[in-house]
Amino acid sequence: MKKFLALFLALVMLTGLAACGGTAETETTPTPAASDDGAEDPAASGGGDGEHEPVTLRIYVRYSDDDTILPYDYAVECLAEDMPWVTLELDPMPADDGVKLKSMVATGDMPDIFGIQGDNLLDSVIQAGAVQDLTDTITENGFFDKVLPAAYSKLYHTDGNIYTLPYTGTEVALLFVNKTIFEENNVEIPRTIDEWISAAETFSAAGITTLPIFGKEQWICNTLYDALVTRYIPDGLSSLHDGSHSIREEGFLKAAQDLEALAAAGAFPDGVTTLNYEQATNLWYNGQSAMFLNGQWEIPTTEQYLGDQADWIPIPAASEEEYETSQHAFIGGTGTAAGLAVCAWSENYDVAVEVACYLAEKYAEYNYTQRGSTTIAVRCDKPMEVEQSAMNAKLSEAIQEATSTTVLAGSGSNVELYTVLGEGTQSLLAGVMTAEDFIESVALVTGD
Amino acid sequence: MKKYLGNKPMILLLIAPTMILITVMVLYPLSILLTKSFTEWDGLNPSTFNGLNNYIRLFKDPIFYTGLKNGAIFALVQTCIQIPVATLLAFAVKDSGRFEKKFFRITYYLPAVLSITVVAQLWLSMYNAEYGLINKLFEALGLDYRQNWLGDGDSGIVAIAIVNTWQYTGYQFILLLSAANSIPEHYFEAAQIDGCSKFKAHLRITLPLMQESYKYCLIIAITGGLNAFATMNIMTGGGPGTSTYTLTYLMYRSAFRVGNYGYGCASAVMLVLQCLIVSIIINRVVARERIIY
Repeated sequence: MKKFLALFLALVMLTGLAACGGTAETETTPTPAASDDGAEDPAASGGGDGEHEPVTLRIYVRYSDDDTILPYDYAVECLAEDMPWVTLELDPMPADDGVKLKSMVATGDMPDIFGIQGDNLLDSVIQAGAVQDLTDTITENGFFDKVLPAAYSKLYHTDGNIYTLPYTGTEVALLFVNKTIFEENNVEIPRTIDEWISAAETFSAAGITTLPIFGKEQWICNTLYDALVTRYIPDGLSSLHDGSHSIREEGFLKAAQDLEALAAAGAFPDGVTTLNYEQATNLWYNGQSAMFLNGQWEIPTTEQYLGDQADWIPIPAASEEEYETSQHAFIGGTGTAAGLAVCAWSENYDVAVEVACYLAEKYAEYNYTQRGSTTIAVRCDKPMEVEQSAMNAKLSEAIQEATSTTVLAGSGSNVELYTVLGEGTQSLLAGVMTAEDFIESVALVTGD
Repeated sequence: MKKYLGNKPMILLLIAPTMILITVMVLYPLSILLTKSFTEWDGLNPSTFNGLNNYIRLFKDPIFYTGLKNGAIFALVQTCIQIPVATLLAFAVKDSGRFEKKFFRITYYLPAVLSITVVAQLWLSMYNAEYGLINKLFEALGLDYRQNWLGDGDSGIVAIAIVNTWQYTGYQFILLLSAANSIPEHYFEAAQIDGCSKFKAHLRITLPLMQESYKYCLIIAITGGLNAFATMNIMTGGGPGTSTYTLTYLMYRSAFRVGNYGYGCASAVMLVLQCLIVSIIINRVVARERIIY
């Protein structure tokens, strides 16, 4: 009896475990639904118009701040008018270095359209067969002709094929200044590194933050270093990725020493490496800091908070002469393949490609017509609906005279190099590493 | 009982569910981890065998040694603060009245149930170099001891370890309190009749009889320190630079930032080995004999 009872209990436990593990298989691909009486449910159908079958596409893109939310909402609104049979299901992309996307590819649970950037990640996705070359498709549908030449670096991958449809435009880093703070403290807007250091000392003594860089994010630390490098080596950190320059060259060391000197002069707030974007912008928007460093996408919000008080300036150089020669050397401006990609496994592949092209156009359209940005990736034929701001107009003019560009934030094909640069520049900002040690740590990766 | 224990097929059948769970949840992933540590792998596509390359590179990597050092500091701070403080709190609560017992039991345990993000944000604002409570406190006391707590390479790891220690001391306290409560009261009554003070009773009776609980607490504190990740990820992101990296963080960096999962697996294997060695040593050294009362 006891044996029987024990056997019964064991069987009950096993059945329980099996029940826990087994879940009913669910249908993941939405199908057009019909109500019981046979009439189509408009909400579920996505608004098929008789000519087209209703289609629901899953899209995985950034949707976290004004810079990503507003253009997306605009594009979706336009899509509802122009392609009412298409419904988009948004899956917001986190800032996770592509980890979630990799999991999606590995499990086969892919969105139809997804944002992607970074050579390494794209290489992995291509190798897994999750994306296809779009060159022929976008040439045939006319999208290719609409892409502005300045955005070609985001269009072509290193293998010469096109997998991504650029929608973010040309991105450059800008050094913003609060002119009022400079005037009130009788400090000249710096043109040389020495003037910048001297300004930092003056502001520091007056209890004003000079440059509240959000150093918790390593890309902005890299960007600042890249900016300083471009004063000596115009191609900046990009030249390390393509191997055209060695980290042992004097320009890299001098730029690291400049960064070290700025940190020592108190240019950055205490605890700069734990400062996040919100804390840094809080100081900048509230007129509590003299300078700020970020991409050109910061212009609209900066103007909203600071109005005419704010402007952007070329990065100071070692001397007046070098300032003159390097002032049109841009930080950013080119990039690696990045944009909207279409999953090769999508059941609605053709529609997804069409929609991805449409969205890329509409993102650019929003940035041009509603924000007055001219650094867009896709041509826009509509007129600008807002008056172009002074900073944007200045940027549009300056970018025409660009003498060199870099890949923003020092990113490129070598992710490890980018990571080590980020760690090193963060250490320089915090003053826990010397410029010489920084060069050595990077040389370990570049093999110089 | 003897007849029951002699029934080998039945024993096998009864432990099978647990064994299956352990195999699926622990042993299988561990074997995959070990296999992948000998490969070059991007986490997505098929891996290629590269022998001992990952391990050779690991032993040459300065971040590996930073990780080892920081793991040791983290474990040391946790162990040296958590266990003595939890012991004192457990003894104090054990000897207190019914209401106090209930109140302090909940209060001390409260940080352990808080989200790690909440705790990290709370301490981030306290550690803030410019406006943080701790620096302001020094300022108010007229002490010139303003520190950049998290931005300094050396103090950063200790500052983070203190946060973790604060959060999980309550957990150790609950373990020790339940161990102290489970000691039969007649031992203390006998000691009291013999004129023993409360302090001496705890020293001679409670502490020795709680050896096994201490063993468990020690393993949690040390391996918890070696495994530390979440708090530093939120508070410093491993920075400045690599100064607050641990082995877990190296694993995360290699796999998810650099995309070299094979190398990440090699550092994870070292982490598993480290924890295993520590657990074996503690098991061999502390409370070797089982105490039954």
